Amino acid sequence: MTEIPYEETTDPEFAGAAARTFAVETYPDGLLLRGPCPRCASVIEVALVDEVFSRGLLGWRRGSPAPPPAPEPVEPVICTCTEAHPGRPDGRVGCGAYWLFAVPASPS
Amino acid sequence: MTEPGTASPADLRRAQQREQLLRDELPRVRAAALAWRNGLGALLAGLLGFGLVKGRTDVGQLDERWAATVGVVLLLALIAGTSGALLLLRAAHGRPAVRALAKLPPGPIADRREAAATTRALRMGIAATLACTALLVGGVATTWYGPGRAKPVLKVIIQGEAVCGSVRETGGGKLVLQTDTGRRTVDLNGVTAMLPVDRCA
Ligand SMILES: [Zn+2]
Ligand SMILES: [Zn+2]
Repeated sequence: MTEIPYEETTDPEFAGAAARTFAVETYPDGLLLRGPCPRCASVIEVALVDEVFSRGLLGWRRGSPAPPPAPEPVEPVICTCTEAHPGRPDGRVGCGAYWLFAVPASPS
Repeated sequence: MTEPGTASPADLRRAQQREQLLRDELPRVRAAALAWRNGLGALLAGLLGFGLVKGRTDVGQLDERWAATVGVVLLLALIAGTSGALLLLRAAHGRPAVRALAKLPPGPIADRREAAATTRALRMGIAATLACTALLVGGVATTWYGPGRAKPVLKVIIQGEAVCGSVRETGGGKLVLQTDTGRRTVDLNGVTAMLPVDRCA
């Protein structure tokens, strides 16, 4: 099997494949998506959480600049695998694949 | 299920930003905790040294009830300082713990949870350390500016009457007391009892 180069790319097929294969787990802290990347097939885990630490002094701030009531029905997801993909910039993870994922409205 | 549609480059950036925020969240909190630990530690060490060196010589001259208060305040400061130090250490270096693998949530969730717990420890540690500082300053200030210990006074019983006051002079069988109502000269031969007291009742 040849190595898949890093490339920031999407494909309508990615969303469809992820919708079929990804499992959603619910935690008090947020949601965890787990499944094979539609491009490089590594099994990845993606956390969708409400809060993230961002400042030393005052603590919490919403993860994104415009605070949405997270998680949104549709969340963008990137591949977060740690396999080697040639051409990946420093500080990045995954193979570059990204897609939209429909989060179950009220997962339980 | 709704059709999510095709992702745009903006979606990619958003997902990348979120991934990175989560990925280095724990190191960021730890780094912040380390900075706070160092700063507050230096502040406390300075204050403690100052308070102990300066305070001890003076606390003996303080009014007894005030001295007891200072003791309680310093004890509280010690408790707050110790908890603060432990909380800041816990935030900066994590908690040494063994946990059952089966109970461990998946990586990203576990990291998020640890970051949240670390932030809580950091905030409580900062609050406790600042409380310790305030108590310490309060205790030392009380030692310096609290009311001094009352000078002992003498109470003598002469012909059934109690005379109380500070000793002015003695000699020739006489005792001069400064009482609340003025000077009283007492003939020591007539004194039936004499006792030192903290204050005239
Ligand atoms: Zn991938
Ligand atoms: Zn990959």
